[in-house]
Amino acid sequence: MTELKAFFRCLAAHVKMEMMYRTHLVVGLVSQLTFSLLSIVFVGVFLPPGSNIQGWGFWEILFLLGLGDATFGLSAILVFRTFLVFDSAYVLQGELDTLLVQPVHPLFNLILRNLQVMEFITLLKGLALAAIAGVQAGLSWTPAHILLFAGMIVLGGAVYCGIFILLFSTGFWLPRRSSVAAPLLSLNQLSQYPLLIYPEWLKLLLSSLLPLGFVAYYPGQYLLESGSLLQTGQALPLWLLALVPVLLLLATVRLFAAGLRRYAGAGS
Amino acid sequence: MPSHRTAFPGSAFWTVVRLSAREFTAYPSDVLLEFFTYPVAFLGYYFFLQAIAGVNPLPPDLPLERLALYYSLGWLLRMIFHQRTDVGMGSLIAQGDIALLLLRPLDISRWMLAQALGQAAARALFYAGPGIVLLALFGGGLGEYLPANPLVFCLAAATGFLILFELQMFIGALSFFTTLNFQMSWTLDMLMRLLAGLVVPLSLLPEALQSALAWLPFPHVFSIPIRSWIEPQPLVFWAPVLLQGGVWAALLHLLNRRFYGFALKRLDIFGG
Repeated sequence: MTELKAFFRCLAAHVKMEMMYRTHLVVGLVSQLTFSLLSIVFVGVFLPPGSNIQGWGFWEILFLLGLGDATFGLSAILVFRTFLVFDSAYVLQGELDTLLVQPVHPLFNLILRNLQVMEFITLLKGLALAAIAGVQAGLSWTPAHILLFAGMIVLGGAVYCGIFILLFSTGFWLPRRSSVAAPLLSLNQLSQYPLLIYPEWLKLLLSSLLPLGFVAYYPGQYLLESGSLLQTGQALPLWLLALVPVLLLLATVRLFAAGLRRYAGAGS
Repeated sequence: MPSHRTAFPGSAFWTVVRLSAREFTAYPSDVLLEFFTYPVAFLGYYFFLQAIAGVNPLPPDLPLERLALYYSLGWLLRMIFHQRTDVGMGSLIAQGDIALLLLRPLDISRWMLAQALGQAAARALFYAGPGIVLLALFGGGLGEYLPANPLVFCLAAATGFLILFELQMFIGALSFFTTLNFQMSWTLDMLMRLLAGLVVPLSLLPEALQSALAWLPFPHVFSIPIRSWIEPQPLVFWAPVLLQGGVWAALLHLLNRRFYGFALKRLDIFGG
């Protein structure tokens, strides 16, 4: 309960801070919309209405984009800024020292200090895109579907959080000046499209070692199949969609703890 | 007695270029990570287009191999050109460190250009390898994909680099007025991907948009260099295009100098 209270207090403080830079906020909104426009233009130019790739047409792929944006946005609010600055600020410059003497778990403390409320824009944009594309694809937004959709966003967000924690925790062993954000965002582009277009080795990679397939594709496939909009019969069972994020989060939190044990102050 | 600025302008410039290139390799894990993961940005496009080609015919003048070449070249150029100079300059302004640059033997524009050049040289060295692998794997062999006219390609690429540098300098100088500029930097990056033909070849956009873009500097950053590699046209064909690009680079440079001079008056050391 105390943690929850601390979380909302910090969230309010971050919102106030962001509101001080209104131009930044407006430009952020424009940049997010432009970012989505790029993907929509690319898919729209090469995949004209009426054509599809094994059942995945224009609107189904846009639904996937929206779902991916929403899950990314949710996780980015929590851990993206930590992911960006952890190596340089906390490990190389030793700011982590401060966190270790405070009465809050260091990982939770990192999250509280680095909440990125601007990413609410990404979350809302993803929700809007998925809602519109879902309707256009023929998905009926019944209460059960809305609940399932919300659950998938939380699970997909947990997968992203796990991947972010995994990557920034490697900073304990491989301190870097800049973050691995650019490479990860490159890899993340692969999650925008249905995994079935990739060769087996890449599909396997995105479903196991780097489970980006679980942030949008598998949840999206499940949602569309449950609405009878896709009939591939290849949707993963719900229990597996829930188990992977939980296991990933547990494993990465343990990795962070192992890194913390190795940390010996500034310059370690 | 001559000042350091007048006595050693050339050497200072090249020293910064050299140091910037060396700085790039100072953290090998950064380099290795980007080295192995940057081609992935291109793979999404490739496999999507490959899947499309299986169900729909691609544009006749852009078959899959040519599109693969187009995107791999585009992302290679982006990795070399895109230095985030705007964010670097923005943080110099916001933290007040820009005051130190006023004392150096190079003016800020040349100092930033030297840094960008050094980074670009180092990146070209590192990313040419995976770039060539991409071309060989997906472009159907290297031999037939050498630049149609190497001289034109080099000129077009140099112009594209300078135009992007000037645009980033402009966004950087906006920090004198806005405090935070990384969302603007991100927006410029997104717009550049779209308007410079990195996401979709400009020839596939609506005619009206193509005509408007032909007058703007954006296509010179990526689209023209890529086309100059792919299209076997004589120098006479490219000369006016390159000239237009050169004029844009010079114009943007002059505008930036005026804007920077104006913006610098707002500087009060800390906080820009």
